[in-house]
This record gives sequence, C-alpha cells and structure tokens, in this order.
Amino acid sequence: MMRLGAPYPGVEVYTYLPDPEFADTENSVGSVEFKRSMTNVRYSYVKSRAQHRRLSFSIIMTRMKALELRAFILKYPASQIQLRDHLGDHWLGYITTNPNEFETTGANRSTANVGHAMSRITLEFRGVKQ
Amino acid sequence: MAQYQVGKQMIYETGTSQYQVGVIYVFETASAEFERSESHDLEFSHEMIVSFPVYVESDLEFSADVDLINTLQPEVEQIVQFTQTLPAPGQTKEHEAESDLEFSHTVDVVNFAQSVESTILFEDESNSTNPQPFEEDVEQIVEFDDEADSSIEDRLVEQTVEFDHTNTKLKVTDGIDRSESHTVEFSDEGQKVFISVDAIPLDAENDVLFTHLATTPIFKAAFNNIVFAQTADQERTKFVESTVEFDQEVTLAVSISREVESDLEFSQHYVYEIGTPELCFYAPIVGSGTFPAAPILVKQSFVTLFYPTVSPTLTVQIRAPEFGDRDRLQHDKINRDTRGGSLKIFADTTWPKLQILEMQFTGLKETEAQAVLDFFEDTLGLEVGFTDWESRTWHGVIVSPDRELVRSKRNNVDISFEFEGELQ
Repeated sequence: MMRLGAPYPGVEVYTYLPDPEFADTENSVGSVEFKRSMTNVRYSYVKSRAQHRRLSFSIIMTRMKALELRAFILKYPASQIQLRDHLGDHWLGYITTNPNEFETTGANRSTANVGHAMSRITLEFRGVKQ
Repeated sequence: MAQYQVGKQMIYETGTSQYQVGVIYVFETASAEFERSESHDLEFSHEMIVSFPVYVESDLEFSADVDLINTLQPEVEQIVQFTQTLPAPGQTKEHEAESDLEFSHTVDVVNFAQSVESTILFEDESNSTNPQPFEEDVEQIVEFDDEADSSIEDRLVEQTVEFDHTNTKLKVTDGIDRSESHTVEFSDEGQKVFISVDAIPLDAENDVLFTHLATTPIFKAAFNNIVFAQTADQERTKFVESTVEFDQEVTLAVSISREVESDLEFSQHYVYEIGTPELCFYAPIVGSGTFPAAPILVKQSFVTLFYPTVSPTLTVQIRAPEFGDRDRLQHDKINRDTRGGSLKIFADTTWPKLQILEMQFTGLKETEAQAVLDFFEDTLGLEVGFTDWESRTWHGVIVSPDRELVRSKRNNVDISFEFEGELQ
C-alpha cells in the first residue's frame, strides 16, 4: 500500500494506493559529464543531486480509486508531496510526470468496484528519502 | 498557550486513536491562546500601529514668585530642553518653531531705595548635532524688542540694555560630527539714582519678544537650552518684592502621523490516519483541507456528442468506447533544479490544466460513423458537449477532427478522436 499526502508541509489530504506492479524503478538523478582536454587530461563535471532519487512505478487500481488519484493530481499539480511507498519508506518530493495518463485496462465487475473497470497509471516521483 | 515552529510534526494521542498532525504551518513563531475545534480554522490578526512623535506641542508655563526681604542675589534658573526626531535622515523638512517668551519684571519698592541694580541675564543656547557629515544651513533669526515704561521722570531712570549675540558654528572635516552653538546673551540693567517718595509704587514693565527660527535641512537631534538667570543686587533696600513670570509656548507647525498595520495570518493543517485505509473506493483521508466529493457514476452503454452545450440541436449517439481509453491530465508548471541540487516545481492556480480524453470506438455502422464525421465537420472548433459512458458531462472541443475512420470489417467501422474539455 502506498500513501500520498499533500500539500507539504501543511499536509491535509492522504490518498492511499495499492502496491505498484513489479518492475518499479529507483535511480539516482546525479549526473556526470566527461571532457577531455587537448593535453589528454580528462575532466569530469558532476551535477550532484544530493540524495535525490527518481522513483517510477505503475499502479493498477479500481476506477473509483483512479478517480480519487485523478482528483488528487488535479488539486495538487505542483505541490510537494509526502510519499510512503510500498516498502514503508517515506519520501518527500514531487510527481514529475506530465502529463499524467490514466488508461482503462479492463473490466472488473466485483461489487467493490463501482466503476466496473480497472485503470493504470505510471507515475514518476522525484524526491528525497526522509 | 501554544508555540509552534515551522514544519514541525506533532502527534496527538486521544484515547485509542492516534492522530498524526501532518504539519502545523506557521509563518511566525507566536504565542496565542486558542481553542482547538473541529474545523481547526485559526486566524490570527496582528495589528501594530506605530506613530512617530513628530508632532510636538509643548506648552510650558513657568512662574516664579520670589519675595525678597533683604536677600541678596536671588537666582532662578530654568533649563528647557526638548528633543525632536525627524522621520528619516535625508529628507528636508522645514520646521518652524515659534517661541513666544513673555517676560515681565516688576519691581516694587515700598520704601526709600537707593542704587537698585537689577541685572537680568538671558542666555539662549542652541546646539545642533548631526551624525551625518554634510553641508547644512542653519539660519537663526533673533528679534529682540525691549520696551520700558516708567511713570516717573525719564531723567531719574537709567536703563541700559546690553545685547550680545554670538553665533558659533564649527565645521570640522567630513566624517566627524560637527557642532554648532548659538549663544544669545543680553542683559537689562536699570539704575535709579534717586527716587522721590511720591513716585512710589513704581511699576516697570519689560516686554521681551523673542522669536527664534531655526531651519536645518536635516538634523537628528536638536537641543535648546534656555538658561534664565536673574540677579538682583542692591546696596540698601527695604521690602523689595521681585516677581518674575516666565511663560513659554512652543508649537511645532508640522504634524505627521504614521500608521503601520501588519496583518498576519497563519493557518493550521492536519490530517490523520484511522483504521485500515480503503484501496478500492473513493476514500481519501481529508484533514483540514477540502477535496472533491466522490463522483456518482451511472454506467451506460453509449456516449453522446451534442451541440450546443445548452439546448442542443445537434446530437450524435454512439456506443461506448473500447477499453484502453486514456484520460490525460496535463499541467503547465515550471520544473527547475536549483544550484543546491533540489527540485523546485511551481504552478500557478490560474495556469492551464488540460484534460484530454482519448477514445476509440469500434463496431460502428457506416451511418453512425458518417454521423460522427458530420458532427465533427459541423462543430469544427466549437465547444461541444460530451456525455461519457459513466453519465458524466464534459464541455470542450474535439481536438482531432481529422482522424480517419477505418472500415476494418464488413459493416464494421472504427473511429477514434480526442476530446479536450472540462468536467461539468
């Protein structure tokens, strides 16, 4: 289970999402660029993004939960967000995917699913682990 | 009484439930008495009014009655000191100060007197110190009017007025405070060589009109010291009464009143967790904020395009789209990495938020597909209405009217389009 809270620091809304699908990713956002001088000396230019990580995950959820997440993104498009991921780690950062695209994947006619459909969204989150 | 700090998380435990206060966001550390309520709407108004004491009004009345009975050398000393602070250095503001000084000197001699000498020393000293070294003009005008009336013969009264005016202005090298002193001294001396008995009582009025005008472009502090000293010497006097009345009125013509108002508002946010979160339903945990209510979805097997959005006259109804439809949210926002490596994202609330529906319809009949194309052509660029398969109504435009229809099978036409609009 994942939890998104916004707007940080005055968090006033939590929305809960199911765990993401496998193949979620996490990577550093620091970069390095190498240059070589005329004298064959190599220089490296580093852009350090202190402790920043980029998380990417794809979530399949019910139609109503997708509408809840849709309303959340619409309400806090640029707010800093508290994220508690499926591993229990707490992150602070932003949702960087733009646009955010909900795709209807198929039907789910269980009684718990009022919308009778399942939606998928792929979110990219960049932040710092707390 | 509570004190909050920015970004501090707090946890409150009430009974068996644990409430986690996300953040109490306060822009300023403050202490206030308040009562926590359900709504948690806390408004704090701080009003501060500062008035600068530019307007100075000083009514000074000074009276001294001195009864002299064979007493030598009475002295009355008065020091009047006032300080004025101008609003800010660098502004030239002319102030006029009028100082009306009325001075009456009554000498009653009951009995025979010889060689009464009355010496009045009046000293006015004005000092202006300025911490800012710059050229300043100090203009001081002193008018002195002395009038003496005597009911007895002129030849018996000798009155000597001595007036000494010294203006000293010291200018030192720039960067060093300079001082200016202005000293006014005058003395009034009356001698009665011989006074006959029938001339008694004798009233002597001495009106002194003293006008002091000082104009300084800028000064931080002005000190005006007035020293009034009276000295009476008599060689042989009986029952001499000397009454000195001294009135001074200082009025500043400039009155500047400034008010500073500071409206401070701070808000409090909270959110909580109770029980097991719901992962299937529309169930956000809303603390102190607001959040859209859960939409009511009524499933239907068709969608409707109509124009105009009010009282439509053109309507096309086709079957619901295939799975795989996309609901795209696109925001205009600024995304920057700072030099410190942190990410800053900003979006103004007024900036556009695009909501685009991308749908694909299959299995349409030829007439239905042609009706859709005709609708696209008739409403090209116009705002149309769209009722989706969940009975929700959108208003917007067809952004891909040039999408082709595909006749994939016999009597089977596929068509797709994008609709950009807002949910009503």
